[in-house]
Amino acid sequence: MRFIVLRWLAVSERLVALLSIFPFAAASFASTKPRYGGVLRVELLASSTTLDPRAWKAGSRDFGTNERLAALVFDRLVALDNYGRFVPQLATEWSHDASSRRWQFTIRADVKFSDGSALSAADVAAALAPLLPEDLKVAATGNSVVFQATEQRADLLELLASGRFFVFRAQPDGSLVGTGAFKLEEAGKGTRPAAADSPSVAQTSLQRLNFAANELCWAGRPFLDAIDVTLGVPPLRALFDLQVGKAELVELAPDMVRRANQANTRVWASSPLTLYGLRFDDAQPQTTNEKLREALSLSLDRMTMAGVLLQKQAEPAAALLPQWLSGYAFLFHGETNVERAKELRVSLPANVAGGASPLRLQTDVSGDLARLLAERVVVNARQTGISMQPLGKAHDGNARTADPAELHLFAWRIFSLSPGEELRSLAKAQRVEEAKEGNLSDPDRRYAWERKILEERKLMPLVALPDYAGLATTVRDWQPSPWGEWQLADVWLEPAQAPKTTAPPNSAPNGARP
Amino acid sequence: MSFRTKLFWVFLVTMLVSVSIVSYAVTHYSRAPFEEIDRERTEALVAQFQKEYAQRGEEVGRQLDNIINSELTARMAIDLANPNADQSLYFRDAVGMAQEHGLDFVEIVNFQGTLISSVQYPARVGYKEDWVTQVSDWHEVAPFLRKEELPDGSDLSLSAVRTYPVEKKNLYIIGGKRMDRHFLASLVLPAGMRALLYRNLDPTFSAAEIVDSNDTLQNPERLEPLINQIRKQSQPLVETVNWTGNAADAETFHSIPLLGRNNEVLGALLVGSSQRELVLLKRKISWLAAIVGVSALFVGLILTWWISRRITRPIEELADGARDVASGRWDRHIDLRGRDEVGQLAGAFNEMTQTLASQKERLVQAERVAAWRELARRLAHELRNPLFPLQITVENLQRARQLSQDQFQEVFNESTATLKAELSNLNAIVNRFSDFSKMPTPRFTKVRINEALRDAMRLFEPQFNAVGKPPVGTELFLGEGLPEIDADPDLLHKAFQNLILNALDAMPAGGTLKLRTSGQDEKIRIEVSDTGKGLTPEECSRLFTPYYTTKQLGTGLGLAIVQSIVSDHHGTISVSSEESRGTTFRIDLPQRQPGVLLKPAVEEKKSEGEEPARATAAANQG
Amino acid sequence: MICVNWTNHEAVSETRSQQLKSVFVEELQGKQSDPATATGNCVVSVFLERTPAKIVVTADVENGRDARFFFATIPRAGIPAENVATSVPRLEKELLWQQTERVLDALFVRRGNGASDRLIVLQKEVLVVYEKQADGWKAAQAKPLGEASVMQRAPRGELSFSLDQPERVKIVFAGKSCQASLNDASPLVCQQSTEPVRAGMLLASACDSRVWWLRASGGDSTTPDKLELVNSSVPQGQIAATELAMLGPIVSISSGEALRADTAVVFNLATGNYEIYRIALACSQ
Repeated sequence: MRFIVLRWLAVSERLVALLSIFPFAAASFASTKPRYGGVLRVELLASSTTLDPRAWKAGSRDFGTNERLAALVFDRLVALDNYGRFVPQLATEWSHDASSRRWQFTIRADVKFSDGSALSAADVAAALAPLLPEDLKVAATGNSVVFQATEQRADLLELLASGRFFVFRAQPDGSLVGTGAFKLEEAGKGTRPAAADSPSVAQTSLQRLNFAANELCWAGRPFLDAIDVTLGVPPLRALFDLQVGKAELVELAPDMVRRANQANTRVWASSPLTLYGLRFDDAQPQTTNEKLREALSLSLDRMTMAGVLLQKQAEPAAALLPQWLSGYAFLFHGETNVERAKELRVSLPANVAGGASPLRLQTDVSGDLARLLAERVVVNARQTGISMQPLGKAHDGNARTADPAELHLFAWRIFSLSPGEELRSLAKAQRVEEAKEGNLSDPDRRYAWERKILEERKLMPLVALPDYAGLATTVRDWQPSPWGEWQLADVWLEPAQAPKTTAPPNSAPNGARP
Repeated sequence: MSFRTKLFWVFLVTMLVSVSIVSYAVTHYSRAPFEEIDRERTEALVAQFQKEYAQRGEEVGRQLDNIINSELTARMAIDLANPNADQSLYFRDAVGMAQEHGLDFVEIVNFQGTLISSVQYPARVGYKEDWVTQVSDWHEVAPFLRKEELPDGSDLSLSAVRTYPVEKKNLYIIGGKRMDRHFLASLVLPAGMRALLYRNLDPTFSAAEIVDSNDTLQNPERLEPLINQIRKQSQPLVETVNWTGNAADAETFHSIPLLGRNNEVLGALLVGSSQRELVLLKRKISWLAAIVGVSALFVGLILTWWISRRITRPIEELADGARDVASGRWDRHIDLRGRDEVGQLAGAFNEMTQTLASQKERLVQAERVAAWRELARRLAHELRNPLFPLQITVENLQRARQLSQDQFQEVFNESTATLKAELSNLNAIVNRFSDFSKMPTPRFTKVRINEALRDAMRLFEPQFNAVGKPPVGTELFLGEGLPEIDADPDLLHKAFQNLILNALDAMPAGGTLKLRTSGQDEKIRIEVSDTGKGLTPEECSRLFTPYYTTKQLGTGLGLAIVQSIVSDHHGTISVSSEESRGTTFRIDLPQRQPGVLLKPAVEEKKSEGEEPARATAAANQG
Repeated sequence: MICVNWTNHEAVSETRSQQLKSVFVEELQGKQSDPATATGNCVVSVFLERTPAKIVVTADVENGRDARFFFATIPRAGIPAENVATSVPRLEKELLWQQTERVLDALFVRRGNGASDRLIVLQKEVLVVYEKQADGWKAAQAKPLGEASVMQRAPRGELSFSLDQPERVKIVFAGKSCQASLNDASPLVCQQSTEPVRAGMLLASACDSRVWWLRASGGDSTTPDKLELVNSSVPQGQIAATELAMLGPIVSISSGEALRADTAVVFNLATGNYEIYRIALACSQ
């Protein structure tokens, strides 16, 4: 059967040609002409950010904020549009060998950094080299950069079109300059000067960032004069500011979305980007018990977590990679069977299922949402007889026991469009042993490894959350990608007559969740 | 023990007993008011607590009524009555309700008993709260204590439930306020009292669950036994807790269990009342009692001395007077004035002595007359015996004149012999009387009594085992180391002779003669006992009367002489007898004679110069 | 015999999906003689999923109790986008009949093959069958409803027609349904029934294979309705692809032409007449 499928797939490429008889029609855009000028006021939940891609931690919740802000000042070699097409950015064309191990990208000519200096292939190589995975090397040759992989890299374009793979130049003072539509003008109070050996623009405790239009941008000056970003805004305050006209674009916490909808606020939601899940600490002896893992997994009520606790602002997750990224997440089923879980629990020795002392669930991420999910996990477990207690988050210094926890609640934010890269990074961060399945860009191998992880219950997905944002009605040409890139370079502001945030009925912005 | 000493002790004991009784009474009866006050204050505090509890419950009920009557709740209830309702819409509504209405705990439960929203444990949404749906009308149920499950433990709340009915389907709102220190802080506590709240949220006692609004509780684990008892039996209890070794630090706790809807013990109110005041008061009273006691002792001593002097001195005088009268000074007069009983007694005493003195002469005269009469009678009796044979003999002589010379001569010889014998007898009688009449005054010298007795015994030794007579045994129990006494050895000898002779006469059938000497209280006691037929009490009383005798042949003077001698020695003689068992004569002689100063017998030499002194001493013994 | 379940999760347009399916099945059938795959009673489920850069094709092959998954990806960039979003269907109406008597429902039946078209009109007390003549509609049958007549303030009755039985029509009332012969004067045959009231009718496009749901906008009897065309898979959906305003409240919508066209009965507020329209989809550019 596999041969038939593969043959069909080979046929499908012929089909592609057949289908080409249908004329290509571009998506229709707003018919109103964009207007230059204005300052877009943005409020974000994260209390700090760094624009240096080298300092970003894969999978962290701040990755999205960092990436969105970095995208204002930096460009990548390629971008992926909402129709699945790779669009040239700093690279104008690319090619690869038959084995997809060697890729060559031609660097766009006449591109300048925001300080006026010219972009070269060497700058690209220097910027990307420290960011690449271990199996990938980059070198500049003339006006091109060449990527050499140790194994087949069919997903290189997805890799380079997402995540941290921005092109920048480190200045002698440690600051970074880019070729993007904006440049960082000012960092607000609380900024600490970067250390001499630190290449970051600004590391800690930034409260306000001001980005000014880059007149030298190769793609053209953006419509906005500036973007004013405030960090660390509490969720309720952000929504309020949007509603009273103090901001045009605010990041919304999931528990604010309902309130925003009820107030007829224009709300955008990405595809599910943040996965919350559970991880057993394999170093703890009792956590290796398979029945315990199965019992716990069967006790988890993901529907209630997503549908009630998160008020339908999240989806139950049965897979590690979301459906929109892997395409096969629907093959996994997060079964809830309390009766079966109880049967398994009864068959466990008392000291395993938290009999003598409860299993400890450590929340590895801060926030009310994580705490709520952890409490629900505890309630579900207790219902089946597994004794468990939640511990506070380790980071904020809340009470934690001297003994390590048997179970951890983690949050993982999707950062790459390469599902293989994403899965590998997630597994590594959650201390799952390396895949023996080889190249994870192959969906068969990737699926097999993901299934193995889930069947062995090394990781147990709970829910997946989108990113949310609220927009003022004055924000036009808002076309974010489903994977969370805001693409503010193409946004423009309609002259404000009255601070209105009420959206026209039935407006379905591009990039809405599938 | 003298009367004064007795009086002193009586007075002292009376004072001490009175003081003790008063102290005890004060302590005891002052405790009662304290306890009464304590009880009243506790009751008032408990009533206050209950009132506050009820008010809080009403407040909770009122706020829940406000929630029920709000438009939001109405819309929610109508929507949730729809089987396809999206319950997730209301997931956070409990938070808003709680904030708006000032409640600590709010939960929303739909008509199926499923938790829709929860302030305190949002993660439990979706689980059943069947207990809520089992009551048909929650308005009739008073606010109740409830154990609230929280993610990180549990808490105690005062809760109520209200419902919003839609088409026979109820929406339930459960609301409550936390029972914590703020609740206790609203109570007004009298001085020395405090209120604690124990929240029974753990399976075992936990000191951390004791709520103290003032943060003054130390060593809370001391309350563990009391609290465990309350948890077990859910009845009010009273127990005193000693916080330290000092009794003043003790605290009495009145514990009232606080029950939940199902009568489970969810908490306990502990009303503590310090025992310091009472303990200090008791100590004060004790100190006071001790001081009063010591003072009483001191005062008693003085008072006793003074009073006893006032009381005992007249009595002593009376006693001295009685002693003087006993010793023969019948003209003794007590100089005591007073109208009280003692004065009356003194007056009576003086009257008595006057009467005695006046009667003494009459008595002496009477006795003299009686003695003369007795003497005359005895004389007549004594003389009659020998006179009768004299008379017969003379008559025989007269008759014999008519006989022949030889016959007359024989009769004459017999008669003269008889006349001589009887005349000798008469002479003896006269001599005895003469002896008795001219008993010499004692001539005191140091005498060893034991030797005197032995000397007297020696005289009668032949008679103890005389042939043809029943033997008489002798037993001597002579005290060793008896001091020499002032005595006339001759007179003593005579006295002892008479007694021994008397004893022998009392044992015609033999027996045992016992002689015993002993010394006590500066007197020497001599006992002469026989095992004869004994004497009757009447005989004993007349024994020492001159001429009284129980013997057929006897002058009756022997014991009288003995008595006279004993009297001259300022001693006493008594007799005790038991019929058929024997008789014992007991003589007590003083060791020293008044006004006589003698050297020990070994060194004593009689001299002429001493006679006048003795004579004087003898003259004084009248 | 191999059966194939084909699911397109909006990865590609439906048209394209059907075309892909045809190719796939053709290939599969061509391989049926392959002894390696002829294991009897296999079920193949194929899913088309869209990811940012690729179409992921997942084949779930069941063999008894086992299942195996196969994956393949197609770059999305290689598939031209379709102008599906711009093909807005257009509704056309054609007035067939009007009368003053109350009409509960009507059916236009195109018979072809020389037979005259029929217009079946359900009134309160009678079922009338008109036949198209050269000079208009002529009543061919009039069947009294008898006991089935509807005596209500707002009577409802619906006509159901099947091309399988072109000589019969079913009438659904509240609580009963009746069968009527269109060719003779035989009386209605009725029985107890609890069929629900229709809220609309399917309408197929003559130009493509799309099938829509035609419904009324749902006002009361005093306001004019619109005919709304919505996605047939989401008949309760909010978004109407197109609308057609009518002159009064829409009384009923039926179909007698195998969904190629529907019949709508409208009460004209201006004239007070009951009007019967034929509604069809116009092909678009």
